[in-house]
Amino acid sequence: MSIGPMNHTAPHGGRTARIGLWGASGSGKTSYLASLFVAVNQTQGRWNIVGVDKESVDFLAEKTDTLTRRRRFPLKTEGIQHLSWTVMGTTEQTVRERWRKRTETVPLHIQLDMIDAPGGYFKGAEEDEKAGEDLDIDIDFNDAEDASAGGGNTPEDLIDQLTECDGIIYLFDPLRENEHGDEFQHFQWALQNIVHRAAQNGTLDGMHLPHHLAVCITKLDAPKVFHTASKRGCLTVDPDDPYLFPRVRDDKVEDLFRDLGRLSPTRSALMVHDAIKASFHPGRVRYFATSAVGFYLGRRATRFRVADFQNVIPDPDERQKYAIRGDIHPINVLEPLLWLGQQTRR
Amino acid sequence: MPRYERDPSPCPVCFAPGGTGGTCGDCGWCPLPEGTPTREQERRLESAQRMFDAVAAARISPVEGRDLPYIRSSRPSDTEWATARRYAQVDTDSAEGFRDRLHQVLAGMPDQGRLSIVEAGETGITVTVVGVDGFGLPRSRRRPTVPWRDLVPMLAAGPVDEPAGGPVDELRFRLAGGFGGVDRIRLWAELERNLTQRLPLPDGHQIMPVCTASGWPVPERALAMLGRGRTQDPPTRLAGGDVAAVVSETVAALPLRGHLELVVVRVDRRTGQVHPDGVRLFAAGDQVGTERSLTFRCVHPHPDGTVLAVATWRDDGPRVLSIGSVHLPEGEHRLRAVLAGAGRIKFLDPAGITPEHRPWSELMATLPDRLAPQVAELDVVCLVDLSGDGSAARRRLAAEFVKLAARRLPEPGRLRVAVIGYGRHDFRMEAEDAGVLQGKWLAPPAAALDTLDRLRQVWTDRIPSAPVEDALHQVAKRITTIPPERKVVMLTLGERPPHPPRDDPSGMLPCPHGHDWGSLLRRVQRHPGLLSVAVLDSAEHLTPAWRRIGGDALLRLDRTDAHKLAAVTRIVVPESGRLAFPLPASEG
Repeated sequence: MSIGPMNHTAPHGGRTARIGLWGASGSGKTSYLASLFVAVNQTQGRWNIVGVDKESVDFLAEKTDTLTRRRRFPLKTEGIQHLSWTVMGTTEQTVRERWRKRTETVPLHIQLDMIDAPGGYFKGAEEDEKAGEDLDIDIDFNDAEDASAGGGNTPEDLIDQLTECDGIIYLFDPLRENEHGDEFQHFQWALQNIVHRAAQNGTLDGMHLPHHLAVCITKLDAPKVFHTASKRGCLTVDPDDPYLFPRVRDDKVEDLFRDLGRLSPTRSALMVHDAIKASFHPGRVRYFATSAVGFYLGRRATRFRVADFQNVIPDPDERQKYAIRGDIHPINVLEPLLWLGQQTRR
Repeated sequence: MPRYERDPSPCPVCFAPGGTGGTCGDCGWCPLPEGTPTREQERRLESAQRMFDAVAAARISPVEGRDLPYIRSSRPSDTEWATARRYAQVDTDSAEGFRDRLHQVLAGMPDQGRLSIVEAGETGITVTVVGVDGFGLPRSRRRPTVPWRDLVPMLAAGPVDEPAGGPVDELRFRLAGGFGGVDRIRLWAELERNLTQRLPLPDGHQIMPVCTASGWPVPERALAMLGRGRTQDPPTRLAGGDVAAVVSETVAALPLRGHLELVVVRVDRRTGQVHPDGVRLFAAGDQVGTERSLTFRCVHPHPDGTVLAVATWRDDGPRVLSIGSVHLPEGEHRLRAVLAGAGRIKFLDPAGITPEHRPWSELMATLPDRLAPQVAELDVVCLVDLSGDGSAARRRLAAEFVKLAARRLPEPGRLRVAVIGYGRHDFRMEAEDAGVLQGKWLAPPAAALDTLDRLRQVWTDRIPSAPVEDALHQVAKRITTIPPERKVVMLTLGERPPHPPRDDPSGMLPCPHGHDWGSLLRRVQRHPGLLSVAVLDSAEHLTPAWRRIGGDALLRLDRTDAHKLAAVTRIVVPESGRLAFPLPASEG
């Protein structure tokens, strides 16, 4: 169940941040992780990432290759995957001396222990039973043994592990919600179980969970999401970005979450928002608008073109799959991790 | 006891009323002196009665009347009979005179006028009303004869169908003046009452009395009663003759009161709009037997034949008198017609005219709004989607259309065809500059067919748009080189709509070359007279873009063949554009 050393102390004096990835099936959890290496590289040397174990090293290498060279989306995660990376960078630290305070740059290493689980796990057991009924599959004892032999690869295990995380990245896919309208159904099952575990463990902070939560609206590059953000006046540009890719203003992301939630037929994402408010400490929640692949940049283009920005196209070779049109330019992929790392380090 | 026996006052010979002992005003009988008449006096009375009756009998028949049993006393002697026949004779009018008089009256009759010809004959009284119908033509209508037994029942004692010598002959004898024993006062009162009831003549009708039982007192008295206050003219006396036939012939022979026109269609030179009109075939005053001819022109003749309709103009518009139809080829034709009677036209040429039975409204409904112009020079620009299951069918249809157009315009240079096949945008970054078009700009039909044949099918993807805009870009660039007087048909055969020029919430990928199909289409459509037709595989992708690209016609591939395309592009005239009516020779 535990995925890192229990003392949570990094070798360079940093503290290990155990971060769980939470999101419905198809919300882009694996793509998010797959784009992490590219996102780190885009920081122009300010940050670096290394895998702690071979599984994590292989994951980064393989998924990054899938996204960047093959320009395909990585396959869905099968079972709960434990990944451990160290994000290395620097931070400014205030040092107290006898007569004065001074600020110095100090190394900052954030140990990220990530849990990536299939989205179906967040639906709980009831949905799985239903799926079994639909498919008319007989489950025998051997199936049960196989499931238990996986070393905790069940939805219950996932809840245990999320409960023990320091921070959680919750991925909200507005396109998926627009199509299925079941976000709250997924979310509330996991949330109620996490709260229940935390209460059992005695880790509740008053009425709130102790976790930090980074709520990530995914697929900002999709036309529906982008144009919604654009119409609501949520977009801005970072002048330091050489390509001038649009981003959602930090103070508007939460509003955008609600606006996108209103677009769905069931408006269940609004209940997700309310549930987050009820279960997490307001100071420990931050919203991000992200995109694993980012916007398309033409071969000769020097900057973002609003007239032609879609970077995801139907796969010309495989039906029902999508391909990436050009280079990927992840948006707000590293930022939630760094924020969680910094928050849990305090 | 008969009334005359109770009332001694009537004349014993003619039974005229009001005898006061003096000479009878009607028959001239001088009463016998009072007292018992002598044998001689009785013979004189019998002779006078026989003579009086013989005159009535002679009016019925100069030969057989002598033997009628109703003559009082005895059979008239030869001398008496000769005298009776002489007395029975009356002056009569000739049939020609009657015809002339009738012709004169009818010719001067106004459109709203009515003439009632009241014919009193041996069987009864018949009224024939002559008026002007809705076409301005005189028409006669003969009412049923009112028999004498209904008008003077007191003279018709027995059943009607008695054999000769029975009550019918007696009735005729009485009508002809055999008044022996008849109460004249009662007779005339009954006649007048029944005339009023059975033969009411509407006010405003002009009366023309005609007596075909000349000299018969009852018919002539009836005519006098009917004409009282309506006409000063004495009755026309006809000795025999068929009044109905004379009236019909006279009416039919009247000259035309108005012009008769052949219905044609005229074409507005500026707008091409078609509207019905007439060209004069017969003029007012034309007599029966007049023959006229004119030349007309058939343009886009209707498959059901060309309608030759003759109409006359009235205050409220044209009225069609005669309709026939004939199958004629395109070109000029000669119409020859003769005025056969009032409103009756006989077509002599062209041969083969058959009566047309379709309602006039249905014929008028066949008229197109505009006359399809004749195509002299044509450029066809085919834009063909080369992907998807319909690719082969699209190319096949385009080829058939080109072949049909080539048959229609076989002369070199009259038809040119451009073929632009479009494939799929490859949105992968490394392929974003890849070309998506195949084909050749305007070339002779044979070369275009070869190009169509050599177009390569391209792969099919899941992107719901196609580079129609790239094809439009090529057309917009080159269409300015086409002279404005050449007709241009842009035929787009595809399925998926064009890519939008920029990203929008629909999520459709924009054209990687940035082409804006809307502005390109506007540029293309600036070419004068360009027809833009789209043929889609199905209605699945029927977007506003297709509605604009197929602005002149939007068709489905599986329901379209080359002939339909040729019709909607007006290379051949569709049935809805064909003319059921001829054009004047100078038009079209």
